[in-house]
Amino acid sequence: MKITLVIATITSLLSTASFANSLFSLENLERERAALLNAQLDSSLDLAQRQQKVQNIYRRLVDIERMVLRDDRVTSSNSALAQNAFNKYELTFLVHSSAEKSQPPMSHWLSEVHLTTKSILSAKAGHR
Amino acid sequence: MNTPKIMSSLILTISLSCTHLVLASEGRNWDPVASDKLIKLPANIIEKRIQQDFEASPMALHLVELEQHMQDKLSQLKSLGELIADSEGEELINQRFELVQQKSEYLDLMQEAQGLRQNALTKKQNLYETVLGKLRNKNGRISKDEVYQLKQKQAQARERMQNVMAQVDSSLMHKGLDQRSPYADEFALNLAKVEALKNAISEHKANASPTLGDVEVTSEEYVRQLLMQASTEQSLLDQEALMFSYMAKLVALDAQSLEYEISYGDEDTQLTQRNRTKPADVADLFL
Repeated sequence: MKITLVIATITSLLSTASFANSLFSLENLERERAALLNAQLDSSLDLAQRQQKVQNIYRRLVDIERMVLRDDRVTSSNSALAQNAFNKYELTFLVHSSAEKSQPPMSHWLSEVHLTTKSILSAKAGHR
Repeated sequence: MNTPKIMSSLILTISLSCTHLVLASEGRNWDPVASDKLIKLPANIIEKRIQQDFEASPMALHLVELEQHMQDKLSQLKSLGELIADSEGEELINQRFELVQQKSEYLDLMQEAQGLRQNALTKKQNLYETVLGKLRNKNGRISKDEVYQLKQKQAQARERMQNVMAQVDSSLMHKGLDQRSPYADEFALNLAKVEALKNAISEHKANASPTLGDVEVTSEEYVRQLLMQASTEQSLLDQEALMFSYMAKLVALDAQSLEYEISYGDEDTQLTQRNRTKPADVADLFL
């Protein structure tokens, strides 16, 4: 009887984690990633400001990417967000996947979305 | 003397006992069920749980009783055999009759035990087959599961991350971010403890994989091995049944020969010709 109670208690302890938002870490990652891209593309920032901002975000992204990859709750949720994140590793885990190619994260992101200097320079502004 | 009639009924009983099923075991059943609770147990515990369940069943308890009766009967047979060696005449016939009867009763007990063992083994085989089917279903379902697929992707992604972690850390140093974050610090500190705890879990005997001859095997493989063992037992039980039928045949032949002996005398006894008057012997009187 006592053993059953102990096992039940342990099980309930293990299951308390599931009450938390299972996608919390992934949502944080998405926000930071968006912030990194924003900072890189923000024309209102000068070079020093951009570098300062990007460095701070980069620091946080390193930690958050690792958190997401170690977070079992993300995959247990089986949400579309999680599916999409792991189907597109190159874009989701920008810092670590760019390190595989020894590229800065921004260059890596641009090449993943097929944006090259040539294609940007040959682009014309106009109405669709 | 109605011994021949008793002998005939004894022979009939022995002959019938070879063919008909024992009905005496009704109500002494064992009905194991492959419940979900059973499937969740480690494979080696499944085997022990089934054995434990069987040993507590009315069928197993009856088997123990039968075994005890058979032992008693066996000692009676031995002492009767010794008595026969020192007997002769009418007493010898009576003791031989007693011996055949005791042998027949012993065979009845043996047959009942054999039937119960066969029954238990069949149920055990069915149970193992159900367990194996459920284990296969479970594994198949898990590997097809979307969550499982996603977890696999996460594991692959984690592996990719591990390969470039040092590279990313050194890039942080290059960027002048040489101070580690609180997360990285805490994580590194906890990591050693987590590894120690994981090792303790993997070495815990309650978490050990089932083994076959010191080799770790999967639950499915272990249950397949149990099914193999059940087949071996089945084959040996079949052989025992054959031995049992030969023993019953021998007792029937003993009883038949004893019946003939009581009815027609010993086979060594010469048939005596009754004196009859032959015409040739009296022919002279008419001359």
